[in-house]
Amino acid sequence: MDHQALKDLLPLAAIGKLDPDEERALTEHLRDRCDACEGELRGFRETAAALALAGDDIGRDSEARIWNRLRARLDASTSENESAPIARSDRPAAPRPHARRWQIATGVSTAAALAAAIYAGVIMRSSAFQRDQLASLADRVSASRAELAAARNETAALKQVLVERAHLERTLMAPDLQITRLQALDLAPGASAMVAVSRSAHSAVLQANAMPPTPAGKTYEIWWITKETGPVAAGLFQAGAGREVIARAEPPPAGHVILAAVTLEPAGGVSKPTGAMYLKGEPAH
Amino acid sequence: MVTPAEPSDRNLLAAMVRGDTGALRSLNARYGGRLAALANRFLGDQADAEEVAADVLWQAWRQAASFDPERGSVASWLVTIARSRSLDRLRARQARRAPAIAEADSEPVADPAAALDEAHRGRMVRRAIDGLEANQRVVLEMAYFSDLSHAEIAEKLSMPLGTVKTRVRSAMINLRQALGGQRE
Repeated sequence: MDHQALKDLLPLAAIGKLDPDEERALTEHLRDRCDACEGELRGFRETAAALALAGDDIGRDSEARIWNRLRARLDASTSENESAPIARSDRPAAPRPHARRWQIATGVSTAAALAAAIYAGVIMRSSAFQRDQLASLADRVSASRAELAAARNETAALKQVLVERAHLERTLMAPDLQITRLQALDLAPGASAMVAVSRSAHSAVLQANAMPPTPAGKTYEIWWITKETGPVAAGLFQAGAGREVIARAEPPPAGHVILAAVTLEPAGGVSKPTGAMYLKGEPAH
Repeated sequence: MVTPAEPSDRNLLAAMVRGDTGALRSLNARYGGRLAALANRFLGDQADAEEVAADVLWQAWRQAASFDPERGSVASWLVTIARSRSLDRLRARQARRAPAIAEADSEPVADPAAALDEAHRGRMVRRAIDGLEANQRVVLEMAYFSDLSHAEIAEKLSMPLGTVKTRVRSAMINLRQALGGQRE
């Protein structure tokens, strides 16, 4: 494999998707200290990490539950260490009986004094630290409040996109996935679309690009057209300029579906198509 | 992204090497929820996903000293472990259950600054992902967030194997260019 071919493997290596032969070849190449490829691979790993961590909100409850699990492991690990037998050479020599009581008394008072000093120090440091933290937090809260409101709105919108995308992915990964590609008609030049259907998951999702923005007072409506019943309404969606559309739809009804289509209809949708057709496609049988 | 007042991820790992459990807690606050969300995309089970996130952070706690910054950032290290553990768990139970993808939850966030950081970072990356061509994005997400091989994706999408690989590769290259210089 030449150097360019090995370099082409790096993006796939970063997401762990190499075939065994490819993986072997790349591992050997990296073992020969190709700094350029090492650097590239590092960059693609960061890209994969960004992809992995993008978009999902941190659930505070989830974070707290994870911390509880970690704390339990820390506690278990601490008590394991405490109950572990001390190696013979590390054991202190046993005090002689007549000196033992005095040693205990001295030890107790020293330990108490030490504990009191440490406690006082910890409390003082901890209070000062907490005051600083509170002041800093209060500043950040007041400076951030307005921005937060905007961020929440945007997060809600993103969340909706994520929900729809997750639904699309779930449909795409269903074992009985069927994809119907829709052709753009004259009213939607340059548009492309597909409908993914899984009957077992009872789900269908339309994904479309470059649809003309939905005019005011209108909606796009998805249709399944069967031989037996004619057009059956399957869902509504709106399109914005330059935006990808991912919209849930009803799966095809029973019967022989001969066509999937998208028309422009009055807002709220209609039970039978009345407007112009923008997209259409024949399902694979 | 880390605000100037907060310790960097690497500083947190250094503190963890010294046995500072507060640093582990901070690392959990920074990544725990998102690692669980990532695991949830593979596993579709919140409790399993949280267990994976705890496993990842526990591994980080025990192996913080062996972290090699030459190989990448702390985030990419954690993500690599999380993905690998999620796939292990998924494969272990695949015979019993089909993979599912969790939908984003709607729990409120408590820390406004963290929420802003999150929203900002999420926006940037999401924008970059949205900027990919749809055919690249769908293939990349299927490749990354599932246990499907390229051949299986090709079969599902009725696409030649070479096209799947080319699209995944192009998507990664385009995403990397779009994200250029945003991470540590």
